[in-house]
Amino acid sequence: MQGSLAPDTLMVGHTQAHAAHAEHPDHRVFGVLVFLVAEACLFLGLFIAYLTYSLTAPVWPPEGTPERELLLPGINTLILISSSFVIHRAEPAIKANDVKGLRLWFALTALMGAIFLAGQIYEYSNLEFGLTTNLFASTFYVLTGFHGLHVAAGLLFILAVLWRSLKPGHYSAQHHFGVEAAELYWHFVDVVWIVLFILLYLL
Amino acid sequence: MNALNNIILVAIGVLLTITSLWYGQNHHLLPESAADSAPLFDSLFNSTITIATGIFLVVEGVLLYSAVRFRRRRGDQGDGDPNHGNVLLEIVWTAVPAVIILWLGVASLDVYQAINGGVNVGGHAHSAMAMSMESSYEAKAEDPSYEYTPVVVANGVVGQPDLVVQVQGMQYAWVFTYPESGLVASELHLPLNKRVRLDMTALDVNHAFWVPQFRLKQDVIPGRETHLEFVPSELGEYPIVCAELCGPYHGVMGGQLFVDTPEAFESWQEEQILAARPDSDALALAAETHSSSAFAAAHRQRLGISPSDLTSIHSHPGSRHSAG
Amino acid sequence: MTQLQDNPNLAAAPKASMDPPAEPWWRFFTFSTDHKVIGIQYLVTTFFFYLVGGALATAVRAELATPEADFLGFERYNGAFTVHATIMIFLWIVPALVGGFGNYLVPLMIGARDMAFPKLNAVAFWMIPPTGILLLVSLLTEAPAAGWTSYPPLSLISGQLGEELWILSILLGGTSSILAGVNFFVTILKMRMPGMKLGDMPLFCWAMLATSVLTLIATPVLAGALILLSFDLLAGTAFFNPSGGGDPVVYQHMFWFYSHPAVYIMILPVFGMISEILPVHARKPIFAYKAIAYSSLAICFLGLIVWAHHMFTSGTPDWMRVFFMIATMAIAVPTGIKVFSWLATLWGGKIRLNSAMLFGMGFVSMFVIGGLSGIILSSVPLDVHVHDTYFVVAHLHYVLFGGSVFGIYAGLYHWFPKMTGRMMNEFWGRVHFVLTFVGFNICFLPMHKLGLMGMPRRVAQYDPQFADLNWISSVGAFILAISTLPFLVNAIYSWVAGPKAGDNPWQALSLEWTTTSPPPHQNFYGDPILLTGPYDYGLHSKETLDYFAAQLQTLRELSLMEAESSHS
Repeated sequence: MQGSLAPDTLMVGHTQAHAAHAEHPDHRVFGVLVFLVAEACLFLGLFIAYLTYSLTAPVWPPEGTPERELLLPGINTLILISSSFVIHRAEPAIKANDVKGLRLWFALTALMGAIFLAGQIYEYSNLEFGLTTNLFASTFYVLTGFHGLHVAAGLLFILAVLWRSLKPGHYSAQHHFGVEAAELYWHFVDVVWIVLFILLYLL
Repeated sequence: MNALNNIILVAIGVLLTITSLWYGQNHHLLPESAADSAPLFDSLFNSTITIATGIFLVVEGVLLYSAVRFRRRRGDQGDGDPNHGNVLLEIVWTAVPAVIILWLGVASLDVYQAINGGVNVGGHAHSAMAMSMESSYEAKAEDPSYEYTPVVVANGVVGQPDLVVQVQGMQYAWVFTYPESGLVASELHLPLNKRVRLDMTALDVNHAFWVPQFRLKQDVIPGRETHLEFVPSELGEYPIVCAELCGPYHGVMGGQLFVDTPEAFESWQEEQILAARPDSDALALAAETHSSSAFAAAHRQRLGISPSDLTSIHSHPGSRHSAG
Repeated sequence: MTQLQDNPNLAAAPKASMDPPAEPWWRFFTFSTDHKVIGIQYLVTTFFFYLVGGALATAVRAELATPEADFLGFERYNGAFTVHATIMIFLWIVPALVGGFGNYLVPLMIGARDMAFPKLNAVAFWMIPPTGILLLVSLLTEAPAAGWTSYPPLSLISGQLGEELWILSILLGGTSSILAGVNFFVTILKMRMPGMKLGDMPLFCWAMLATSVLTLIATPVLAGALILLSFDLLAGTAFFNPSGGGDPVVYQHMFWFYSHPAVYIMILPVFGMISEILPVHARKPIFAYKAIAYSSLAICFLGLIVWAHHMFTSGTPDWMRVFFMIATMAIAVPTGIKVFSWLATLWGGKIRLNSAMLFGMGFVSMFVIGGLSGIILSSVPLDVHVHDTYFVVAHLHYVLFGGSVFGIYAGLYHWFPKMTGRMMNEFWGRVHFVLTFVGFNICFLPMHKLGLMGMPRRVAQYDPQFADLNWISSVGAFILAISTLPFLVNAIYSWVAGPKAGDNPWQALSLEWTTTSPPPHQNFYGDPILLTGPYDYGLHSKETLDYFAAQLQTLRELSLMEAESSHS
């Protein structure tokens, strides 16, 4: 604000500011979004590295890479994508103060996340290539593994929200930052998986 | 008064210009030049130094002048002139650097094209460029008849290089192979005024091939081939410097480059071929020249290691430490 | 509410209670969530690492005083310069500027009570000491010796343990940096006091906004590169190892995608601080506020698309070299705008040549040299000759020491009274400046010529023809090492026993100077008020300013009384 204020406006400013100060606006959801942008850049960096490898190699995946089966990862993908829709039902529930609904949708999402992880582990144990077989195998394991870690973190996050929701009154129509953050994070993990699936399985 | 000020300003401007021009030609910051593209570098460098000197003098001059002329006098508690913008001035000092940068960009592109023999801005990595890159899968280091598209060179001549030398960098030596004669040497001899292309690759870690007198440098990278193309234009002996950190003895990794008359080059080649025993290999030659230096012990470990052996060393985690 | 002056209670308010309660010293060793405590924690911790990094630099220069590798020896030399660079970047300049000055100043300047996420802020700070410990431990084992760039394949074969510790250290430091970035981005956008638009913010806040954007976008990519490097190092994959089909150049791209913006993370906050310091001590409004603010954003944007100019000799395709050359050169324009605006700010002022101002003007004069050598480096044909030589070492030190460190010193002298409530000694401040300025130039100016003549960087042993200039440079380095002593003694002594500073010893106008020194826990007594713009020097009469000061005093007393009555 260039220039000065007259004494009376000065006092007005004082009282107004006081009112705003009392409210303590919550910026945590915005903070989570900003953090997810940084996370997205991490995955973006890895994706671009993967693309560079695949585009500069004469044959990709390198010769001798065993064929990958598409059925199981496809089912896994469907489960993860649908879980995003499931968790999305939790927000209207808590906004209507329906804690039971919140618990239901979160528990369902957690279950689907757990199935996804189990499917992932099953796929790992049945693959015919290991981490160091060739460059494709390495990128495959590191990318899916790194994503898997994020799914696991998201799962823990959801379980933590579930645990807290057992305490009566912890989440309400007005105060449910944990719910929103967990949901945002889960959507993020989901979107990353879609890109990953296209890169690693379809292209 | 106003006229006097103007005269002083003009005088300062003239003085600045003269100083910058003089320093641009007399900075003594570069070694002698010995390749036909080096003078192009030098003239671009000199012009850049001239402009940089001018900008430097203006900025430092204004700073010093302000520090003296506008310093607070004892007892003065007042503020300065509350002037906080001048659109014309701002446009000028945005436009002038932009123009200088534009000039430098165009001039750099020109020189780069001349040094390189044609820049393919829209092309991909595999087109014919003096410093193009090749992916490891297509590296043709072993193939002396490797097809190379003619390029436009500095002096306007279109043609194949007169001589191709394969260069291998390793911790901590350079090995030069002359594919036509099969000669392997630890020093690089080149004939005067002949277009030379170096096909370079590294056996272990990144190195960089640098001849300061040629003003040319190129990283030498394991798993891919990089190129350098030039015409040596002065007889003499020049250092080859490794410019990319390649290990503890990086500073000792050097070599000699000799620019010979074509006759001397031929006789050197013949001598070397005669002297070469059938059992001697490149690494032994390389080691001889450095046997007295500090890294000999570390170096000897590598004797007799061929590129394929190195590949297996890198893929066995257990043997890493012996490689370092 | 009645007119303040008429309030009968005020006349009786005891003046003594206006002194802020001194921060008990042990608070600086706790998990405090007060941004001011955290800011000082950052500054003190990073200064400690600066001394460690400086000691390593002195050892490096001692090695280079003679052409033979006779002081540290080959292996230890590489460890020394690697850890020197890593400390100076990740444990000194970045955390000192962003964590230290950013934390201390941003909430005060925008009239906030604290950062948006105080706990996150404390977590980010407490990641710094373990980052440093990991790095120092690596120095004691088999030191990482592949340079701070850590290019594979060399980094994969030179000391596995040290290299892995180095990676972990940077990952931790990077995480801290990202968390801080989130915090600053949200704080600056969402926590400004009512009535303060973006265009009313001090320029330092603009610079921090641009810095946090760079941190958020670029740092994660470095983390990605280091994770892949870790796999190559420990698990035997071959992402960057050509023997397994990998590509070392991919690492270079990922590394520089962070590490070039990192240069701007290390200089943009300094640009901001200089834009604060020069107007105060020149007693003039900042020249071209908008141009400086927007040029920070321009640098932020351009900084993200120039990384491959570090790779002009890496076998980079021609179209890439040309694109990155043009983009790099374009940065000269917004940078030039800033430099010329600072000069115009000084022109016609009433310049107080105190320590803060000397370092501020020293910054401008040294940064210009770094900028001009940067132009030479941006041109592909010129860079091909000077890349990886001492010319680059000279350039980066003119930017990071002559630029960032001079700027940090200017900031320390300028805000020391605010942070501690006490003044530093002017005489010793000037001694410090002269020693630093002279030592710096003796040390780094000759390196330009060394590089151009043919001396590569990162060598323990060099051609004897370079002996003379190297000897001069080493002498400069020792002067530089000694120059920190007057500062250290001055700062410690003044913190304990310096003369009281008062709220506003520089008669500055930005918000942080309207509260006490040091400010109270919630930063302001009552709510902060914008009485003037941050750069309104020469725009208000002395009477107006006195009147404002009286108003502030009244408000402060009123809020103290409110607080007291609510206690009883």
